[in-house]
Amino acid sequence: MLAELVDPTILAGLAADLGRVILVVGTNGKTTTARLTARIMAGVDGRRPIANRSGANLRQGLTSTLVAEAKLHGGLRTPGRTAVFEVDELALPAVLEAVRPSVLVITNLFRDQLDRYGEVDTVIDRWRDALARLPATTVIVDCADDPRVDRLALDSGLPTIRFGLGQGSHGADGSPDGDSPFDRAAPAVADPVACPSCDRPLVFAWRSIGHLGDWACPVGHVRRAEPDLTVQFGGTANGPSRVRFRGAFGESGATIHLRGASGAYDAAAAVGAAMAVGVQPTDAIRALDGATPAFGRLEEMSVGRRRIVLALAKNPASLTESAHEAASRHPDALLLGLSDESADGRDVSWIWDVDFERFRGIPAIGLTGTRADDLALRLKYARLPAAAAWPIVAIEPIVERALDAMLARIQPGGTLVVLATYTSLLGIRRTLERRGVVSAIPR
Amino acid sequence: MTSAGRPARRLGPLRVVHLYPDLLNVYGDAGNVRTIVVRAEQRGIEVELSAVRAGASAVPPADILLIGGGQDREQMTVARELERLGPAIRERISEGASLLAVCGGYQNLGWSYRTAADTTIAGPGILDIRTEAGHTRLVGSVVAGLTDLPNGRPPRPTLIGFENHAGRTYLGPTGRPLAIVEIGHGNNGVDGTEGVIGLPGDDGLPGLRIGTYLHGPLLPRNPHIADALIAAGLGRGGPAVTLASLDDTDEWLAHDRFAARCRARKRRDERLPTWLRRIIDPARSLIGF
Repeated sequence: MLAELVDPTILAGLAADLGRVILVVGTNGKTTTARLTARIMAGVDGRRPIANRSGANLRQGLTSTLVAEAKLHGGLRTPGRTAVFEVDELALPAVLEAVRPSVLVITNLFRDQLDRYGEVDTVIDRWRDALARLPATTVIVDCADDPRVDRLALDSGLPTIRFGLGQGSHGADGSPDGDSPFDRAAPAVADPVACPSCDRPLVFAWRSIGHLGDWACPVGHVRRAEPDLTVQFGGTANGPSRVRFRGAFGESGATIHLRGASGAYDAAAAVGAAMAVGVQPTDAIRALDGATPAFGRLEEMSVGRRRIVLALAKNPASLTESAHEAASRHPDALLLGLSDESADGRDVSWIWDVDFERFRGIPAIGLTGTRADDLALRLKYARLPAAAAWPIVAIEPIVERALDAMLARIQPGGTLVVLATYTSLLGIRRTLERRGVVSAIPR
Repeated sequence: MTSAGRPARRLGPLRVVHLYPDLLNVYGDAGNVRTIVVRAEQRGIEVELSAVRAGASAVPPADILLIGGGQDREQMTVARELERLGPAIRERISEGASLLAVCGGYQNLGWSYRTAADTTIAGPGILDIRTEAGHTRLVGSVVAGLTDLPNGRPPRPTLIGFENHAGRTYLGPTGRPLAIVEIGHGNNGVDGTEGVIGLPGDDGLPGLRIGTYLHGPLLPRNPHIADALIAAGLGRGGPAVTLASLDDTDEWLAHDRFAARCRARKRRDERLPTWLRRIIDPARSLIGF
């Protein structure tokens, strides 16, 4: 940051020394997509690409990442290296002023921390302005299932590689929209998206996560075109996922330790990014084999023969998706964490846009974080069958104490799922790190 | 629910109509609907829930109408929809339905909205307010003192929530503020008012009308507002119904702790020198501290 003050062109100067630059932007899946892309590019280049940590995704974060790779008198120690950077949604315009990417990956755009990011349309407008200034050679890799993002990519006039879920591999329940009671019960999870021509709300043949799916204008102005790269996922509740990709190259698959639709989307985004810089799709897919999750993306660890699964919940879409994955593991206990520090977002009203009835049947539930009270109310207003009550065993704002209370509830061989916002989850992970259960957060 | 000695009068069904959930549905608005439904059902009152969506040609019979917040684009669509259905909504309120309008829907149901491009969009004037687009967003936690609620003193004199709006709203000649801001910005950041309340009989309308910028959502942590809407709605234009009391320990705990945290933060801030606060405050309002 100091370097930027001394020389505001330092980012542009250092970035000019890079080889291929792949930027990843979007609400959910940035960190995992960047991680998977870096994994593929490491295999291609024979060395790890330069990459930023997930928190360092503003302009200053990119600068400090590159300064760490620079020579004393300017320029990178090793020019021509590949870089994979995840970029904060609001920081994208400022980053694009200094960095000319070969590829821009747009994972999705969900309602997220309205108090910080503002309205979804505001973010799209900023991105549109930023994309208009990109050189015509930049390839946009975007999610065809997200109507706003896909529209943005097509409107940019830049070359695109569009990824999406394949037929028969839909959402949270692997079933078309409306087939699960969850989808019927919680249409609120999807924020409404309007047809750009007539303003009518789009309709979906199926939805995967929130407003992602096979979308169309109800009177036919626009509809999702078949993606260039489709992905299907499957696997057992507790094992790894099998992902299969299809495109002009044919068909190819990999086994990854990333779960569900979000894992499949992130994997497809990474393969798309690699294809955009000329990597053979089959090579990229092979490189994904065995990939593991980033911090809080369904990370698994064990403590005293008890399994702990950490899942980050940032917004309605990620909480819903994580909740689905959590429930599929049949946990013996669930610890929900909600905090309102600035890294979490000050406004926690989005928990009311999530279907908590999904947690029905979990034997013990604990609530933690600075806004544990709000979780207690949310559960109180989530209706259960008559005379049933939520098995809330602890409401403890201090995460370390809450963690111990929940671990004490489960037998050896049991599973505790922790589903929490950023600072709560980080507090729990740090506790586990101190106890030697898990090593520090992988880069 | 009934006085001893008289035959039990069955309350309800409570007809709840959610206006434009397909267009206005941010800030956990669904939580307000959920709160009304659950609090009625806990009292043994049957609930009939329906929605008015884009393109609808009528507003079904209603005891409570709810409308939420949305983005500028969707608000414009709602403004066009209200040209058609505004009179029908007013009709329901004249039959005694209560109304809760939050954020975007609050602005939409006033007399007018002047956009940043200086065009004025007329509204149905169901709430006695007018709104102008502002250049900055008013964002943050709010604690405000309630003015009048029907049916005497509420269990708490406060209203809590979270605001996030660019519009500046001003009360019309007969508009009563719902609350006076203790912490936060409120309607316009200038006059100290938050929201608007139309008591039964105001403006010749028998329904209770509440408009506010507060979400969070509003009703779960402000159950006094939820119950005022239910009681007035079930009265259907006559006197409000007396509702059985519920165990609201969790609700008031969340309400009181939130207010206490906001006040503690304010006291801490007030200890900082003025020049420092002048730097910090605008930055905070940007990120929602």
